Amino acid sequence: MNIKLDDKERIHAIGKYGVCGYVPAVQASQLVKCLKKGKLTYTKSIIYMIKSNTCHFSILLFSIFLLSFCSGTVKTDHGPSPKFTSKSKLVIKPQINVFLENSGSMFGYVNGGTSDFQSGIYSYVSNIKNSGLISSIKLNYINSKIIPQGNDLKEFILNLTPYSFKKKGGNLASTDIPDLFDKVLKTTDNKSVSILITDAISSYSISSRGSKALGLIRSMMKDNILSQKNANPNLGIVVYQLNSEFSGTFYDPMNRMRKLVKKQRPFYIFLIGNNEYLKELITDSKTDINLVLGSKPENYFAFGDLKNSQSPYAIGRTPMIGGYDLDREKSKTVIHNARTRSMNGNEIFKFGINIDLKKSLLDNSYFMDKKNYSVSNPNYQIVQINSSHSNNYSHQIVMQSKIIFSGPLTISIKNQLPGWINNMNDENGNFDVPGVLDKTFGLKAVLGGIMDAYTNGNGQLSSYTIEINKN
Amino acid sequence: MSKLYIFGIGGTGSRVLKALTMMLASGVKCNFNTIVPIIIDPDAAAADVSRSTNLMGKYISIRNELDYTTNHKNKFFQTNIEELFQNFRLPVKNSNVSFGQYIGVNTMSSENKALTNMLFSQDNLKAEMEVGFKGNPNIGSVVLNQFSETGEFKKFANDFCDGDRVFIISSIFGGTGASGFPLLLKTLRSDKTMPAFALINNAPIGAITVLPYFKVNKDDDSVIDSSTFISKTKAALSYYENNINNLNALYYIADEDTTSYDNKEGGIEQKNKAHFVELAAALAILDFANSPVEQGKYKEYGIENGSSELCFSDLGNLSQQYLKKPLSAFMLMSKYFKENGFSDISNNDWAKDVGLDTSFFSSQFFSNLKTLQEEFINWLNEMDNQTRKFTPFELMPNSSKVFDYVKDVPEKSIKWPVWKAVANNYDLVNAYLNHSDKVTGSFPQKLMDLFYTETESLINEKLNIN
Amino acid sequence: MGTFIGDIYCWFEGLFGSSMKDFLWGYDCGSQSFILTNRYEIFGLVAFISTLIIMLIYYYVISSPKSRWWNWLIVGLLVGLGNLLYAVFSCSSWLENGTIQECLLHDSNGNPLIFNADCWGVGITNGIIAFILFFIISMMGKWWSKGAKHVPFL
Repeated sequence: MNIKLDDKERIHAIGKYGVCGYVPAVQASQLVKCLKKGKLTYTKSIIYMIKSNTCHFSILLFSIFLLSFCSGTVKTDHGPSPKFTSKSKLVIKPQINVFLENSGSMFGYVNGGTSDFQSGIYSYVSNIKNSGLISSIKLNYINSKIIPQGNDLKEFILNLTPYSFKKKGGNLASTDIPDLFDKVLKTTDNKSVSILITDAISSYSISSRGSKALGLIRSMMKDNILSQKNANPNLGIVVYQLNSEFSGTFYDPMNRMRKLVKKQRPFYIFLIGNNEYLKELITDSKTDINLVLGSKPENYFAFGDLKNSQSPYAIGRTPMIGGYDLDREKSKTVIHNARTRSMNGNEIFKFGINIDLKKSLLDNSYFMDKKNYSVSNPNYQIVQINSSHSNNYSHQIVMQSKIIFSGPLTISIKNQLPGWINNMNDENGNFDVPGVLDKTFGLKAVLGGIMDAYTNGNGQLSSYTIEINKN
Repeated sequence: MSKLYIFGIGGTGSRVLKALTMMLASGVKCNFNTIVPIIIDPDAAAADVSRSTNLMGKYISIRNELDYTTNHKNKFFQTNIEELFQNFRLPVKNSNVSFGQYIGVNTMSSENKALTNMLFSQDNLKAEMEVGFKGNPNIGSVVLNQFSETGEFKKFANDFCDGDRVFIISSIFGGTGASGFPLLLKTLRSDKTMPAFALINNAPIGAITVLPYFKVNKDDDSVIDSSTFISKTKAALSYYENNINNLNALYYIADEDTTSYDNKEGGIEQKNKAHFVELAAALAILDFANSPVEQGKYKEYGIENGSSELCFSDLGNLSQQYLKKPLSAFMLMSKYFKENGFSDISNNDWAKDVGLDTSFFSSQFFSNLKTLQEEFINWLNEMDNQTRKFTPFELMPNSSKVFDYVKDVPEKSIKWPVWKAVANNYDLVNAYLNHSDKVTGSFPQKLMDLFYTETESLINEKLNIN
Repeated sequence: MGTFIGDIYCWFEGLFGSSMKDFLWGYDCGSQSFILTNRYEIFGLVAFISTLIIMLIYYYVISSPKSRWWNWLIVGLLVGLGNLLYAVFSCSSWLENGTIQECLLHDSNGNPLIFNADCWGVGITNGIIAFILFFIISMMGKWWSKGAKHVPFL
């Protein structure tokens, strides 16, 4: 049974079949006192055998009684069963705000009949709407301003035409991506999740020309996100990159045009909100975009950092090869008497560090890749990374060395933009260059700016420091 | 400090002095803290005398290393023995000639010669006096008359102080004792030429006269014949009746149950075994010393049970009070050193604790002590081999029944503390010694303090003798 | 103090293995830290008290001048044996009644980490330590003994 304290100081109990109810914390502690005095022996007797009048017999007790049955199978002979709604881990279900960029560069995706774009968006958003994980959904267009579109998804999707885009207004001529993000971020609070659908192409006309412009875009992205992140440290952002048929006018950064017909072009879906909400939306089978869409996204990345409080870790109690003793006080991070063992003429010291990455938004492949790790002392090498099935830790990093080096050892998970972003990035906007039409101008600046907000320069998602002592 | 001058006349005198020495070694109580033995015996080589003088000499060398101030608990050898003359002997001059030569028969006028021949037999006149008067008090009374002229006697008189007393030991049936005792007494009471004569004339004087308590085997080559002992006794007693009346106390002792000794006229061969009567006679000395001065008291000695194998319980209460505890304690100490076959005594914890190492246990002091204790045991052995035995102790060594050594006293078992309960025999003695309180002083002093206190505790707790 | 006692026992850890060693230090699988009872302290305390009592009885109650190095040795060996058995029985009962948590009993592949032989290892260690403690306590405490201070040697 999952028991949490919410911000109104109420104890929520969530069992297998859903939220059972809640009890004010103050009265719950009063009940505990009664239990300690031995006045209440069994939950059943809570209802029937209260004698002392210092223990108030009230709805509270009834709720506690109910709580005790939420943890396992319902025992139907024990009174009324709680009302179960649906399976949910979320305390409060978020509201979903969908923002679809309706600037001119987006027309090509919605031009002429139903495209992958439309069916994809429809499928995704409707799955989310019906998943039971959210409270409500609001649909919007966005360019230089946000244009609400109510919550009728079907009508929203049917209206995905260039005509509707134009009709809905706003500045369709140019796109200021940082500004777009800023607006979206400002409407995102810790009870809502924003879904931003955009091609992520910035227009040059909003800023000075040249490569300096991309630098400016990057730093503006960083600023906007950083200020939101400071207000809500739990803020996470994920991005899916998908492809869709594009038929229409394609603008370069200087608004030069080229006509494209059924050209596969990338577009992006950003999810912005609290890490817990994002985690659920990403992993729940009802809303996992990989399961929901006909064709999976091409690429994915998640922005975020993992503070050590969100990513607990510990050295394995015993090493795999060699030996050590755990420190008595700091038994998870400090070892003593580390020693190698001789095998086939070589001295080997091999041990595991268990880390918990369940809270991270990144997918498993990122963590299984040794290249995404750095080790402070090169004499220690990561020989393997295993998925762990323990309750406490998700992964095990296996380290090995030939000699014992005393001192701290830090393993860091790099926070770096994945390769695909480089591949999808275009810096010039010169569509005469082959392959540019498959890319997104300024993608790296945009995503890089987000990354900067999260790493704040040190390029690390999380780091784990242990101390190895020879004696 | 007052002294008790003890004149031991003849063989009996020496033997009684020996018994007294043994008793004082075991710490028997004497109110005088110094005794001055004076032996009068013309028999220069008398074995009994030399045994006694040797013993007293050892006693003195042992006691010289000891201290009797209040912080020392040892009471063995408590009383001081002072050697006033060399070898304690008052010399008898001209005893190496015949009696006839001594009185100068040949230079006498014929009238005197005739008188002399009437008074003395030819045997008497020819008697060699080297070994004493061989049971002839008539000779002795002439020859011994000279001792008051000796320098030694004057030394004695000079030494005499107010408060000192005199005691005289003699046998009534011998030659030296029977004659010497009245002579000595007369000198002490009436001589006005000796120094301090006023003091001595009026000093408290006690005496014991020992009546027959042994026989000698018949021997034709010897002039000594024990069948004459009784008649001689009678003769002497009739003399005493009229002439001995200025003693403060006169003690008598005798025994009908007699042993027969070898018939030796004297010299180194006249070595009589120790007898209980001598020990009882020594008790008379103590009785005299420990009592207030009286006048004209006559005392006899008796035992409680007329057994011929005397243990402590056969003696009267007073004798037991004097003897039982000190002798038992000293006996235990003697047994310990004799029977407890150590390879190295200094290895015991008690020895290590007070610093008694191998050099101490090979020192002269310890050797003297051990020798004296062996003589003590021999002395008890001799008394055990008389017809009238004094046999208070089991003298056969038995290290598995150590505390059975006092006959007629059963061993008590101790239950507490544990260390006393789990040990027995010499281990128990060792345990007591180990647990003793701290002792101080010289090594001899420490040894004696240790053993005195612990043997006292042991015989108290194990044998109920206190 | 508990750390010091435990360190001494851990000199012998080769006899009982690292998992038993961690258990005795008080390792808790849930929190992955050493917050449970330090059982070395208990063994050490029992060994200390038992050797102290036996020493006092030997040197001060019995205090026999018949004491020799070999009967002291027998007493010491008996003290060691007593402590050995105490440790073996304690360990075995912990193994049987589930006091030892799962992460110490088996590794991630289900292989056992603690064996019955480890209990004997702990027992032997405890016995040795008790004997040595008896020696030290004897050497320190015997000096005031009246009867037996010469044992085991002066």
